[in-house]
Amino acid sequence: MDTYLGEFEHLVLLAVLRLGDEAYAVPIRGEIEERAGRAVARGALYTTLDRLEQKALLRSRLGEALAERGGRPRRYYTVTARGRAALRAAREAIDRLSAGVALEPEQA
Amino acid sequence: MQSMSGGGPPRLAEWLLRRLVGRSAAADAIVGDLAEEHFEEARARGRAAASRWYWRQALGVGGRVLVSRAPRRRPAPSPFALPGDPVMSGLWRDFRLALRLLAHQPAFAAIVVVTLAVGLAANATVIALIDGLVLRPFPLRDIDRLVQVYGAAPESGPLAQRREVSPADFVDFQREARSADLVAMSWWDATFSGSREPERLQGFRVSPAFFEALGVGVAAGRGFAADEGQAGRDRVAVISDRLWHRRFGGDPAIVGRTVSIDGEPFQIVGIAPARFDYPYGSDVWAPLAFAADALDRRQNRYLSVIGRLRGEATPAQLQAELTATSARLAQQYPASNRGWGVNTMPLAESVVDLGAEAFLVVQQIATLMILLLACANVANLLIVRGADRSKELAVRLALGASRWRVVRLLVLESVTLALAGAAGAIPLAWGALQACRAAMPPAVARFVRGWNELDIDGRVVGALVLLALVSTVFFGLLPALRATRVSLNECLKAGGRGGDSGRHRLRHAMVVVEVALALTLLVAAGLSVRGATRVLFRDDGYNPEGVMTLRVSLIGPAYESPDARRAFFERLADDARGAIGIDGVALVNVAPGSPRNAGTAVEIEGRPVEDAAQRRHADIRRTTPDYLRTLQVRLVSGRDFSTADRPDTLPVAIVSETMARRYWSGEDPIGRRFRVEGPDHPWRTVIGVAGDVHHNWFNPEMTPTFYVPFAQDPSPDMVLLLRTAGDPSPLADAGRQLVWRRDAGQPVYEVRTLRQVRGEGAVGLQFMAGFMGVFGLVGLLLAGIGIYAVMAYAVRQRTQEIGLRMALGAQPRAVLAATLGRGLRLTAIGLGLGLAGAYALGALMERTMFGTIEVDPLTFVVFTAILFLAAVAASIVPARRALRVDPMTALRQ
Repeated sequence: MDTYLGEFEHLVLLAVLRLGDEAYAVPIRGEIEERAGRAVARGALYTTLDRLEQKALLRSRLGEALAERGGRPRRYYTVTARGRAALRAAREAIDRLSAGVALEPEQA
Repeated sequence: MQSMSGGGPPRLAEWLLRRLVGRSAAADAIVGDLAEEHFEEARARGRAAASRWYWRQALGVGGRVLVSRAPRRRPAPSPFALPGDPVMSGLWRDFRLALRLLAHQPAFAAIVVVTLAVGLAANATVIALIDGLVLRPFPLRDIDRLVQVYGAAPESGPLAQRREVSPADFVDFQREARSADLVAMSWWDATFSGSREPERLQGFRVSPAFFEALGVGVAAGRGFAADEGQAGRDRVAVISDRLWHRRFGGDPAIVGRTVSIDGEPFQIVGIAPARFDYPYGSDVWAPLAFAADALDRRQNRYLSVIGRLRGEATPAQLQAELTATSARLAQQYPASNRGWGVNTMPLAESVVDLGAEAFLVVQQIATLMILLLACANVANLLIVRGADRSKELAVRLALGASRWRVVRLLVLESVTLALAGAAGAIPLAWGALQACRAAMPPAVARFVRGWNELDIDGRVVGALVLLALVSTVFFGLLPALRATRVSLNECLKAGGRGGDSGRHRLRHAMVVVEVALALTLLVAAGLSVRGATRVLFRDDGYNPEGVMTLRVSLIGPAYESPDARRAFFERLADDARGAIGIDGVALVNVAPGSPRNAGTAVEIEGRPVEDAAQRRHADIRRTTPDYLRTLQVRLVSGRDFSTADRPDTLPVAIVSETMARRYWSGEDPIGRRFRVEGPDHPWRTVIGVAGDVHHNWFNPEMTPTFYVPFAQDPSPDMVLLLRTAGDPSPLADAGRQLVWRRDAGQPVYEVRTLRQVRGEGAVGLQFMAGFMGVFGLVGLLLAGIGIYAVMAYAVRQRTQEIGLRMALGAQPRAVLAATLGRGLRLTAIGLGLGLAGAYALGALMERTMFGTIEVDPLTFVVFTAILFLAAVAASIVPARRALRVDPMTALRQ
């Protein structure tokens, strides 16, 4: 595989995928915090989104401006084909490594 | 779209965020995201909580984005930075590391910080003085549009360029100046009387347009109307805010009320704004009206003139216009104006005390020297510490830290020390400033513009921090560079001393520099103290011990006539002579040594002058017959005044030696005649010659002076002199009672002993001596410490060699001599340089302190010897320790 996904990058891509058309920073963060049960720093999220876009795993577009944003547009993200491929590769790698490994505590 | 409640995130935080994240569309989206979330937060938890939340997020996100946007450098292969660490956080880490390293050696850090604090505090004090007295913005609007116009006399010297202007000249200047609106000011000692006790205040009579020219609006009431500038209409006054509160209790109905000033009714028409008391702490202003004959006497110069430039005009343009006017006046009225010009300067420059500026320059030079000394000591300490850490640094360098990073770490340590020194300097400087202010007599402080506002403010602290950072270069950079120039091989060798000869040379240079600086400071201190002592205790031609002075200026219509004035003062003198404890009584119009003076132009019978430039001046003293005797002024020839000299007898005078020598050179003046210039004045016959009395300490030369009997020329403004055998302080109350027994409505002021009067004149010199004395001692101390440290370290470094020598049979005395010899050689070089520096500084002081300081060889010799002895002492102690080195231990090291 050509791109290796860091752990946080992995979570971000999954969240974007889940949110479909409504994936911008605010709900992406909410989704990760809720579903992965892990605190997300906004700064880390923005830099990761930038990095993923640089790696061409995400694509962004500007939405409409809204009053409660002080007239600024939202930036929506979608997962590219490469991104999907990276996610698939990561899932497969985990599956292969996990095969046959007991994750429950051993019964004495 | 619903309207926003409350209006969005905190503006400042959002602005900050925008600055941190930049200006791209992506950055915009980030700002918008936070705005959106803020909106939700505000709805859920209220605006206050939302704002706090926003600040945290804005700083967090902004900081993170900023850091991630920093240009990436190739990761340095060094133990100081992790790969990929941005520049900023590396610096922060180094700073924390520096703090930790210093915390490990608290004693070292403490010594350095204290040394730097002392050096910086001295500088901060002087900087505060300079800022407050010379640089500080004057509290007037558009101060750069205001100028002061002086008369320029056809004499030499700095004071000749700052003369007053006569009323007639002023009227011409005012009319012909197109570049500025000019107004005139005249001293006015205003006596307020009435329901409360009589009070003498500083006031000024000013042209009606005074307040407009200064751009000052009155706080209540009005200023002066143009037609109030004439006699008869000028009984109106504007009082200061301070006076309004102190004497009139802040009564709002004061405007329009009539009060008694100088015994006459004045209507108060306005109150000046708070803190306005220009010039010289004035409390009251009244319109200036010229008497009809005042305009004829062009030689009577007593007005100060200021002006506001019109439009885009410059002071140079005004100067040109007025020069043309004064040239025309010189041609038209040669008797009074020949050779006179004008001198225009910005008002902000003119209010600076002439003496203060010169004095402060000298002080600043001295404090910079102290700081250099402190830096040299600290540099020494850092070099030693660098040598001790040589192994650690060599290892770091070998492991891949770039030399630049190690130097940066060491410099950061120095910066931390410098800033700590600056922090410590602030309370020290504040204390020193308070001491200065306490030491200044209030009578003098009033004349030094800005004295009462002296403070350690933001500007001074800023300058202090800057100085601290700059001094880091002096004491931190060199040791840091040296410390990193180590060779690993040599360091790790057994018994590695880690020193190279370059380090020795540097330390030797330090000793030389320190000795030179210390000698300069000590000599300057010696010269100042001698100068001050000389001025304070020099023989000024009279004996000031045990004399109390009290000034009385008669006010009120009862004393209009010369007879009434004469009667009052003569009876007062009689009362005083009868009082217990008073040995001598006299009256004079101006106390000797006081800042005031009374002078006039004189004509010598039989020796007329052709033009204005050659006119003869003399100081005039109106005295009672026992004045010369009471003050123990020498009577050289002739006789003193007696009670027989009355208004109806022959007009007589006594002249001073200088006046006799200058105006009747080669002849005996007794029996000759002269008069105050002008046809109304009688010709006076000289009946005696008195010894010179030194009046003005600014002027080292004696001025011609003459005395006239008070009975023949009674002035309403006189100083009562009371002499007693012991301490004259109790005479203050006795004197006041004597005056009030004669007339309870007369204010008595300027009550102080002649010694105090003399002291006030010499205040500047005393300050100089005080400052320089402290600096000299500090310099001596720092240099002593520095020499000791260097010598001690040298001995420590050479213990091996010394032990070897002694083991081979060298005599202890020879070892001692060798160590001592090196130290003394360096000291001698330093003394040589120091003598040159001391001479230069001494010459500067001589030139700037109006001749009261003289460069004399004895001071040089004495302090050279003192410093030499101190250097010997500082070298001997470590040298003796060298003797106690046990050869076996030394060789084993």
